[in-house]
Amino acid sequence: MTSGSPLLSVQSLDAHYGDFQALFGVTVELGEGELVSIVGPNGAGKSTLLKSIAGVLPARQDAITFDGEAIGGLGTMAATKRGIFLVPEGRMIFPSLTVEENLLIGSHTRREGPWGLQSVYELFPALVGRKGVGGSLLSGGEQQMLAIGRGLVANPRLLLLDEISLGLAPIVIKDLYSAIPRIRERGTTLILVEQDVRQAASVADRLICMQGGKVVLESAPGAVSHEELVNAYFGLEG
Amino acid sequence: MADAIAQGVLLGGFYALLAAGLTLVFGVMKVVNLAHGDLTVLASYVALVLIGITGLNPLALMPVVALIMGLIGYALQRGVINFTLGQGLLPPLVVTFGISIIIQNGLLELFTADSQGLDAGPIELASIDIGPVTVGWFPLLTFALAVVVLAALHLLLRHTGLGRAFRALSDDLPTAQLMGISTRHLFAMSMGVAMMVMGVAGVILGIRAQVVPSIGPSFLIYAFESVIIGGLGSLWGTLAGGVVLGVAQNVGAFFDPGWSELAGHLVFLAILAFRPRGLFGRPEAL
Amino acid sequence: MTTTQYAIRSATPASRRFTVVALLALAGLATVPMWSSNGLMVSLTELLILVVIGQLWNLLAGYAGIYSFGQQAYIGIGGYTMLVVADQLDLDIWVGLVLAIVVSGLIAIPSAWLLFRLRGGYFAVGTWVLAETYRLIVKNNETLYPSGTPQPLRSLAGLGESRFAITFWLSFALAVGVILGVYFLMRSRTGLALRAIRDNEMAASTAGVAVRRTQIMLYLAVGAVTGLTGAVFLLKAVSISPDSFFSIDWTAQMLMIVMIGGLGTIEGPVVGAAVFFLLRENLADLGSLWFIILGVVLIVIMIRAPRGIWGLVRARTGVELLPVRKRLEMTTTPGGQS
Repeated sequence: MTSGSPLLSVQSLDAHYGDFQALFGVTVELGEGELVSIVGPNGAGKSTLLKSIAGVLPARQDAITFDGEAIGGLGTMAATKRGIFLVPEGRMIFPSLTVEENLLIGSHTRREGPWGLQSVYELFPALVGRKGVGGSLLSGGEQQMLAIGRGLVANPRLLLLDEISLGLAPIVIKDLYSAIPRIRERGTTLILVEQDVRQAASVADRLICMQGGKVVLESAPGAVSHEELVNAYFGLEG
Repeated sequence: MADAIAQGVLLGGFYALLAAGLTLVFGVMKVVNLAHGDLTVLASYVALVLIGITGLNPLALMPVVALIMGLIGYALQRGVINFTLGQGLLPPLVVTFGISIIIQNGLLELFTADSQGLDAGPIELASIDIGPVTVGWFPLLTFALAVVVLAALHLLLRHTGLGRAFRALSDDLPTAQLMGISTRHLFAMSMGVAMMVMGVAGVILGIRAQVVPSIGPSFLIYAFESVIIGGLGSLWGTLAGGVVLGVAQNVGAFFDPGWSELAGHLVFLAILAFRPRGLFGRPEAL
Repeated sequence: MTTTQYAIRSATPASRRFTVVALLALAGLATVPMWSSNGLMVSLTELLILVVIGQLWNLLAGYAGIYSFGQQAYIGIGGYTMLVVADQLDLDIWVGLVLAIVVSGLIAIPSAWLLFRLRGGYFAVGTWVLAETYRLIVKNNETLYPSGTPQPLRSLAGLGESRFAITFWLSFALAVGVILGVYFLMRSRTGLALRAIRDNEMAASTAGVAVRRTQIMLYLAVGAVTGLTGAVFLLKAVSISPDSFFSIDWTAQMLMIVMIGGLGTIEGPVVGAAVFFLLRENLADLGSLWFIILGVVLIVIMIRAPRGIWGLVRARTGVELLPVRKRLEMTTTPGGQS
């Protein structure tokens, strides 16, 4: 959308958990307003990449550039201050807070923008009747809506969604995915991590396939055959 | 005996005040502050100094003491204890134990081992007959104050952004950080709030009894016992825990002055043996 | 063609040289009572007891992740067992030593049953409360603490001048025994399990190590040996009172020794005890200022150098004098086929 430099630029990023290396020289770029889906099997490094971008994991500072600023490894405070928010795998709803309180935690950083309690309730009407309910009492789908809503209330410039369809019924997944274009309408840039290639491809501008901690394929969703994608997904030579 | 029980109940209010700060800090940071009792005693001495300067009644100075203690708490957390977090259980224990040693001996150096008290005037001796028992006005006031402070803490936790952030940190620290909550600042705020409560407790401590620099650890222990008897993570549970502890101590002392503390410990151990989650135990949440 | 041979070893060149030096030093120490003054013997006895309590606390905290602030309970129980056995039951002090182990170990069982219900930092305070409970029980007991006065161990009079040598040898044997005990324990399967607990309690428990059981067994054993230490200490201290033997100061000393020397190493508490002893000999006259210095040192070490002096030495030089870890050694011989 914007010409010139990308909003997010990940250059030759490595990541480690102790002695185990999870990412090997990953390079990804993302323009303002774009939606990129990252697919790949378990252990491909997708979540690790999101955590690195969100400042959870240590990284070389110049490996991650956001809006022209090198922010790799500076921590979650540096990331959230610039508007990078991660909706973590497993929803991670605060169990002792109500639905509304969970959303309010999202607005802790007081960033200005189009999103507020009202617009999140419009996006996910199912949450309206559950405002005062404790976070631990929600269904999986409601929890996922709440987790996304909590991220949106922060008015992110870049929202990272990690495995939002994990463990949910197909009808619920369909519901969640129908919300994504409406999130984009308001100008939020998104990275979507998924194991389900079809879902991921349905909403994305660009598809990135990861395998064994590396990017193995990158293309527009229509520009790549299903066979090529499957080969990349399972690490077969094309 | 009825008097002993009534006074024990009122003493429980004081113990609940002591316990509230310990519970808050543990809830937010999962840290047990071993200097908790000594910091409370420090508040008594802060009040003593302020009385020396202003000549005011300690009860009037209570808000000032609370404020000073709150600032000290914020600084202590940000300047020292924060550096011990995230590396396991031992570092905060060792460091707060070190702070305990420093406060005790610092007070000893500055104020000698002589016992000192805060003079709140005639209210200290006034008493009232309620049915069959006679209770002092000051213990009644203490109990009422404890209820007010606990209610204020409850409101803070349930109905303010700060309290919400405390509870989010208590629930799930990594996710709270993803939402842009600064642990460095909020941990310091939680210690600051806890120390304001300890400031109130310290003033009461100085009025109701003579203090010496070395008594801090006893108050850490009473606070801890109230927390465990009441049940972890329950603010109102600690009031019940404090009452049970206060009654146990006073009934023990009724039979033999030497048995006061011991009776409290034994009740605590009995709770640990037969009801390890405490009287009102919930899963650990604020 | 090259052949590569692998060998799994614990010993290092430094540890082999150290073994020789250590044996000479131990032989030298063992002869102390034959030539030294009583004053020197008392000082060395104190030092050895510091080594023992540091080593024992390190075994709990540094190897098993058990953070007890109440080990003074067992110092007191051991000391009072000795008093009762030797003075009130008129038995030999050797019987007192044995019973100090037995009684401390027995009291540790219900103590552990109660304490291991507490988690994290609350466990630490719980151990402290329990030690306070034992102190108050003794304090309120007319037989153990009649009319609130410290009790001298009268049986010592029967030993005459030889009590200095006996106490020295006992603490010497105790120190050597505890160090060797920790060394062999840490090289055993249990030691491996303990280090797994320390490094990651959750991982260790999913790996099938019965974490709690191991921790409790160790707590009981350390309690029993700490009781023996209390009994030996009474022989040195001559008189006993609940306020001194059940004092939290014991925990303060254990912490100082272990933190100064280095947590989680066998060498650490030995180094730490020596440094702490020298500091105390020179600074204790400062009174409360000395304790303030201690508190500051504790905080600074914990934050700046949590591995202590020995940790720094090991990081700089890689020296391990009493290695408990097994290393894979590879020797490559060029040529030939074996």
